[in-house]
Amino acid sequence: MSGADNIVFNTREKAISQDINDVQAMEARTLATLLRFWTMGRISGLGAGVDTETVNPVINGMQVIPNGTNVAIQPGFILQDSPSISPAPGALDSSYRITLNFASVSPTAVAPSPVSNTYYLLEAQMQEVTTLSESRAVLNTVSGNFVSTSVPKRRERKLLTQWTAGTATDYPAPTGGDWVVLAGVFRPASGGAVLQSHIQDMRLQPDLLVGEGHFEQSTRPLINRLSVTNANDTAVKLSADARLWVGAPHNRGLALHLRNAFAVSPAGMDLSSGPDALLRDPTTTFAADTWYYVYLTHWKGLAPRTYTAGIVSRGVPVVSHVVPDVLSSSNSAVLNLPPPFANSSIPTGEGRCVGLLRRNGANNGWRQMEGADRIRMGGLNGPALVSTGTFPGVMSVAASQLPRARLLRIGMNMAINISSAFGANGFLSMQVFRTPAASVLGYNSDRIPCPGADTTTRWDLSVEVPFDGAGLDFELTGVNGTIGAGGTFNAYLQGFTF
Amino acid sequence: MDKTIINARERPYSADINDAQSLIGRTFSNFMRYAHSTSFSPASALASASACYGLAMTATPGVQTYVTLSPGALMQLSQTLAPAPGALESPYRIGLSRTTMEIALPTPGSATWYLLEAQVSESTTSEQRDILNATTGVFESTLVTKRAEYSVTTQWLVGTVANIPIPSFGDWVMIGAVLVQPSGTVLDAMDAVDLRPLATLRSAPTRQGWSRSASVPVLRTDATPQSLVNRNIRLAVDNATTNQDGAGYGGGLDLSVSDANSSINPIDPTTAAVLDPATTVSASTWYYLYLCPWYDSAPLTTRQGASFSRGVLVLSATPPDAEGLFNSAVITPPQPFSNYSVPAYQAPCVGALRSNSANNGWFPMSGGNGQFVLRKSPSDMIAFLGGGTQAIPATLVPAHAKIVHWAVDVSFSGSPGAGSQIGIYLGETGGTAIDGGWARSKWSLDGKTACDPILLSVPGRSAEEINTVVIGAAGATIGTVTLQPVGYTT
Repeated sequence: MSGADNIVFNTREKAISQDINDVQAMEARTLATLLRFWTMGRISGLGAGVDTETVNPVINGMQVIPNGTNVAIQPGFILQDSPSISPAPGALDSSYRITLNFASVSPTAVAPSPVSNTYYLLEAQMQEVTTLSESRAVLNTVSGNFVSTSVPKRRERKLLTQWTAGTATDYPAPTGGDWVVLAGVFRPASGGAVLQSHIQDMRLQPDLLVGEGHFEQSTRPLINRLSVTNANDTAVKLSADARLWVGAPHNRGLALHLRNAFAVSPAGMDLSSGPDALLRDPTTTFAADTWYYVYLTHWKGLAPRTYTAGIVSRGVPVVSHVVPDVLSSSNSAVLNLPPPFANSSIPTGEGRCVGLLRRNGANNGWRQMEGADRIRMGGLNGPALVSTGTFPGVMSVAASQLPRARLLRIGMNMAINISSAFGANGFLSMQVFRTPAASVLGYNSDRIPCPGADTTTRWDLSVEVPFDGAGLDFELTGVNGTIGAGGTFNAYLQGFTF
Repeated sequence: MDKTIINARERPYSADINDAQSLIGRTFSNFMRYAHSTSFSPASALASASACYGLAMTATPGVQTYVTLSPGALMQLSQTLAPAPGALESPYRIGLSRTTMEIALPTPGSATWYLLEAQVSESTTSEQRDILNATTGVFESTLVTKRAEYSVTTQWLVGTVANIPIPSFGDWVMIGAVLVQPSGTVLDAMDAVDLRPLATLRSAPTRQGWSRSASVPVLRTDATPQSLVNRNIRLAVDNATTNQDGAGYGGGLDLSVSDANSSINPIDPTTAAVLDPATTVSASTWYYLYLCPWYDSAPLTTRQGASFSRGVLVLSATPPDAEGLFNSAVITPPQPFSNYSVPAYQAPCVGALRSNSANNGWFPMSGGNGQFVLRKSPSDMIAFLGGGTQAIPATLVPAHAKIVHWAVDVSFSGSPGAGSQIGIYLGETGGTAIDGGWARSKWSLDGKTACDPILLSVPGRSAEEINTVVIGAAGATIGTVTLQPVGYTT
């Protein structure tokens, strides 16, 4: 026979009971092994000890929902690799365990009623249960007679759950090992009814597992919408998709997203007050006229579903002062997560920037902006980069003033004090350099013929330049004419391409 | 699931249980076969392509005289592998490797590339069982085959010091290649290349052909502030899909370039590890980056710089096709992949670079998602003397640009009469000048002695011309017309 592993029943053979048990074991092993490898995704195998792990565990269904003062676990399956869960796998068994939940069930223990507010994790694993024993005629090898005997006839793989307690502000660390996290549940003092808003989905579903771990680092997130509708609004509307590389030992990419909460005209997230304020990196303090970055990241290798007044996400959103890497858009330094994930920090490279925000001058809201991948700053001129600079000389913009985007659109206006008449072929030249200005890496050069120009000459100009983490220098020169002292120069950020 | 019915009170034959197992096995096999079919048509070979999960080859440089193969599944369609499929069986074979395999490396006389191939194999176990002697009517202990299991067997193919050998094809499936030293070890991680036919690399049919990759490329030349002599670039590409199935049935490979850690590492595409052997880099010339398949595989390699790539990254003088998607002619990848020529229209173009006028670096540019900005440099502007129609050299813009942004500057002399204008038109060569142009602009010359520079965005074309004329009252003579591409959209 070809196909799956099998037991051969030979012609005229006196089959023994174990043969049929072996048939079942081998069929189950084939199914379990196929499922195990099917969910491996792309595991690359280069060089020494790189990426050879399976994706473990995988959950589908098993959603945790409120059920009075308890929760219920919906139908679904858990796939997990465990040599240690009972029963130990035999020679013909796979260590990859399949737990099937055919109907909505309650967890093994009811939802806790703590003395004080507490965050819990609901964890699960497979357990084998003998669900049917019957009297069967079993051969007594001493007497040689078949004797009616109660024997186990059916064994099924069921769900075993446990609650683990954290603190009043944070989830506990997952138990790990054979325990798989299904959900986080907040329980107020003295318990009571479980609310939907108190359940945080943490299942690691197959559609969250994407691609080849190495490559997830290069994929820039897609900002679907980014909107601060009015100047000084405290609410931000943001939706984005990101793929996140999760470091060893997970060796996988996670598909994350951030959406406005379900409404036609969502209010957006208010990062200054209310529950959304908890999205802030605990080490970040908002300051006026400063850029901040919205990241999506994991928690302990999981992608929690968050839901607050303004947003819903898969993955943990966090707003931080930490700038993203200029090309990969991952965090360039450690991110500290807000509660209830504050017992974890995210290493460099394991967060994905999905939004850029600039605090307003009064530090009580955000600068207006609209767009998607290409963002336009609101207001007449956008944030000032150089305000009333004076000629002649090089006017510099520090990198910290610029958003970590790839292309910057900068508007300039100048009141130029022409100190001498320009010749017939005289012109003004405005050049934009990557800092330092002495370098030859000019990003932009514009000229304006200016015969007859005088102290009232005005020049408005808009340029788009690349940004690679260095600052920008602006330099105005006159050819066949001289620029006097006292002219003024203003540069504004009109927008950027993320 | 397919099944054999064994009726109550029926005395089943041995073959009944065997048939039941065959039917279950056939269901598994066919499900996996069709789950991996990426083609519209069963006529396509890709409808039954081999696929695998896991089976990652790992070599420990300088230490181990073997490679390891991680647990995984190999799936392949074969009528010829033993055992021949029976009437109730599928020819789609599934071999499961449940434990890490150690495969001894060869010990060549000099450094040599080897290719590791695999196929599904059957192994059987025999036991003493009581078998009825039809003559005596007595059960007699007999050694019989009792268990058949399907796993993975491997073989090495020997290549040369320069190249990976050509695969065997047929019933053998590529797993990986290693450059083996005389000591029987692999010197460096970059000397191992992953060639597995991972099922998740096969793209859905609609992804190939006219589809521009969703988020490619992020490309930035890595020129240093003080000089332009740096050849390094930084490149990240996601899901650039090959056009592999010439019959259009689908089944392209998703290729990528990425960084090793959290930031994009620079690579020099003019090194022998990336450069098309038939290409020589010259001054002020556009070159194109392609991600290439190798014998219907998507090699994962670190040989081409600090970055990983899925697919062979090639810098070539060969321009992309008219739509800017794939190579317009055959491309030869660098060693150790150079015994394969990538046919035209199979390798996706993932970027373009322009060598600088000194031919010691790249023209600075930056962008991503199809939007690129070029450095503005007077030395790279072109200038025409006088007005009228002038042909724009096609070599100024990359061949895959769909839209080009031109900076245009015009000077004039003389004393233009009242109401006179200068008109500028950009259009295809041989167009009907003024109104047939892609873009046009007019300047009033009243009271002026020079014109302001302007930016015109036009469709990218290989043959374009600029037409500069004085309109209205006479008295002005057009002087120098300068142009420079300052950006493009792919």
